[in-house]
Amino acid sequence: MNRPEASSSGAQVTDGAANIYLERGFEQVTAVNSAGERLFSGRRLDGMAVRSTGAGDSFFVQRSGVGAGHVRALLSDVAEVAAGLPINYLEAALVSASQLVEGLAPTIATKHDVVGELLAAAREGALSCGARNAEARLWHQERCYVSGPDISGAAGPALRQNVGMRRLTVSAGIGAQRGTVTIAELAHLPLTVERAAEAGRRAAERVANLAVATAPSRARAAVVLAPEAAGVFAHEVIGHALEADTAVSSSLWRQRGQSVSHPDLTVRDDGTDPWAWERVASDEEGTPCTVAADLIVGGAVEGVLTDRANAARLGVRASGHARRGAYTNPPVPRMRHLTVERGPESPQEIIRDTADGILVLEVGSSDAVPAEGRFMIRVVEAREIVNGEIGRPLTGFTVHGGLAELATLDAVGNDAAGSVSMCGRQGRWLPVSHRAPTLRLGHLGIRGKGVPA
Amino acid sequence: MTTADTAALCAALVAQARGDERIEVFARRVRTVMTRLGSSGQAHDQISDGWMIGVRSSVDDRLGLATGNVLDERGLATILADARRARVEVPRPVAREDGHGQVAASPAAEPVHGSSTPAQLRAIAAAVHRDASAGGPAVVTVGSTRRVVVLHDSAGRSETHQQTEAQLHIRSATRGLDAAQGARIRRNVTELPIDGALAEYTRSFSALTGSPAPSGRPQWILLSPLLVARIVGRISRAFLRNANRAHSWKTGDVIGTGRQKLVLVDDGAAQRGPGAIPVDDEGVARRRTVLLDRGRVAGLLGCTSAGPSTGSAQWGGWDSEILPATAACYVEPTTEQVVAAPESLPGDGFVAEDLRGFRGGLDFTTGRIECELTGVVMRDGKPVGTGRIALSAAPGEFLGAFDEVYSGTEFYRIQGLHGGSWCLLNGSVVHGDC
Repeated sequence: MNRPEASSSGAQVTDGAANIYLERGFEQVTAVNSAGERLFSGRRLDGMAVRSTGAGDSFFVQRSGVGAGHVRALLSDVAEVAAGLPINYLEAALVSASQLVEGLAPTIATKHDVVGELLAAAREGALSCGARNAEARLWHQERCYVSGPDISGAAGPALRQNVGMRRLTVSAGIGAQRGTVTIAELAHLPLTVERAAEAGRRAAERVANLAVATAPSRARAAVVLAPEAAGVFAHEVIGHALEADTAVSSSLWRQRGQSVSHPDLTVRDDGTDPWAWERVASDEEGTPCTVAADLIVGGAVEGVLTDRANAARLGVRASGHARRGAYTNPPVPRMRHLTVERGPESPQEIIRDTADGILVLEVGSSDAVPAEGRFMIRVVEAREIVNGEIGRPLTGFTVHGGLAELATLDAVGNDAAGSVSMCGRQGRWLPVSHRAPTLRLGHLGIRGKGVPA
Repeated sequence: MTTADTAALCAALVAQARGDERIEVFARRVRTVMTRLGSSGQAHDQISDGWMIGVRSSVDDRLGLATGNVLDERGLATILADARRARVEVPRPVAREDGHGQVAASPAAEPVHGSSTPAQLRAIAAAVHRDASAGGPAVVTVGSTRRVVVLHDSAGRSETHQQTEAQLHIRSATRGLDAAQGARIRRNVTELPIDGALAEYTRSFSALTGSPAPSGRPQWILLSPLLVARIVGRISRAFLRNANRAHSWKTGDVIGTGRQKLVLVDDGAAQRGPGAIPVDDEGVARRRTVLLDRGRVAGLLGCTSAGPSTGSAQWGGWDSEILPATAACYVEPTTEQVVAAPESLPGDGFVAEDLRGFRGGLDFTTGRIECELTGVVMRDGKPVGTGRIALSAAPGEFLGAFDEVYSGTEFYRIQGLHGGSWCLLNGSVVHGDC
């Protein structure tokens, strides 16, 4: 047995080594379907968690509800797994935090008729541009949470945070084919009827292209990633590999300090960027989020995204990237808003200088294996590039590669565009955003129906 | 709070119905105790205890559903307000099975503490960890989940169902080798087959730590039970339930050539996993449903809001919709032979132990299986090293590649309870060489 005998009577947690978290929130989805019918669904959650933060054995205990009775029940469970905790202090901290959350009860901020106008504009935008049918869906989440303090008080007072996020998705259809466009509300860019209508028109254009698209005819190709696709690429290949809990085994982090790509490549996670979807003053364990975290600078691996525990393990400062998704999960380091700095080349020049290749416009789900530095990304919409000219539409394939392919990056555009998505890892789906310029990779592998092996 | 208290809360909410309105409350309590023993010998204990509440408000043919996780008077009232708003917006017809009327369901609050304690789980984890660490650092997780549901309805129905499930999971903590794992599910921790899980882990670890094999194209693939369970889960979730629109198959559809050997079953009446509670998360009786029968779609999973119901409603959590889901889904064996012997198979082959791909290998846009398998390369009955192959196939082609399903089905909890046994596939679905 590789652990102390004390285990049978609970983890040996010492004073000052536990952290609390309380949350109230709701999520609602309002949609208009292809028949023009309005749909609504609502979900509410309240809950809290206590976890150990000291060295040695650890615990995480969570329970739904934030009332006084729920606090007592939670502490009863904490006593089962932790010895040495000052329960009275913990109870006082939880009750105090629950009052903070109570005062910040989330409210439905969006007026009902405004939601209806947005959905109608998006749907009409798609139908006016040739889509046979169209659906629009508005996702709205409001959370308020209180994180900390550590029970020693060393981490300072409890921090409370309100987070509200909205996203509009339009799906346009022609036959069985569908084209989807998602836009989000940002701090300086509200969801408006005009933006909703434009999203609908873009969805219709996308499905029209997909309806005539075919598969690529080669197993490897030079790939130009348009800004929205480049952001997802950086998220998968660089961001996930440098989240501290995976970084310890990631092949990218093993090359820290070394050049792994083109000197024009600089990647940061910057929750303070005005284009960030989730902008918060503190992360979900109370660390302030005030500066960007450098990941790749000038093509060399520079840093990692950390929560407090992983920062202590790696001997670096916590970067403010602890995220839970919900009180049911302990915090882990996750991206919030990944940015790729703009480079010197115009996107038109990059395409003109590509003799034969693929221009990837939109990507879908993806999978990365940080330990091996490998990734697979599903391409939704692309164009062939022939002698520097944009050619026929392509779809239905995946691009794959590893760190060797990252080293073939040879052009960074001077443009930039952003996108938002939900990122899932270990069963937690979190809202994330990206902003990147056009990127070109010398070659990536290609797989799919009709693609030669 | 006692069972009677929670039932009274639900009943009070049901009584708030206005005019022709019908209100239903469904609540469930799940408590999980888990211990993970890591490679450094440090333990991590975890206790999760939560309510899941759904309120449905219907008037004539209009139905509204809202969910939440706080079972008290104020929490229920808030959810009811959301459900009424949903009903006003939603012109969805109310679909009900006979006998599924006004239901107030509430979980018992007090009996869940009858499940395993952290100390019991730690003792098992320590014993398994000692043996699993012989080949290299390992992480052992032992968990126990208790589910309690009490149903009341206006017709006098009153039922209490309780179920405990124990899980054992072993994975390698060697850098870059998270894929090596062994796992088992049983009804309680005393029944956990530790030797079986250790054997599975040891085999998987050995298969993934060998030296690379020379390239070649396999003529056959042996899929491990755990991989089969993962793939079965993905296929059933993507194609064989009424909740999907884009890719769902229809009853009677012929898949691929229609000459597959596979019979895919969801046995909601089995005395294992969630099947041990004989009603689904809407209170409808569970049953055995044949989903695929030798190349033909024989049935689809359904619930009252995505019907017809097969007693397959699942409410995964406070933040999930109630959707049809498998209870205990597996592929029926095509032979009584229990263990595949790769040494006896001729020519070039591949014994697959891990899979990487889009959410379990399925690309939802194209509806194709696109993934990479990692495992041992076999040449004329001898292992020659480790390798990786890419699979690229339409689901029909993939299912048509199964030549044999061996006996010895083992169940794993991977987004639901899914069963697998060793399966032999021909190499037609391989994309390129190892």
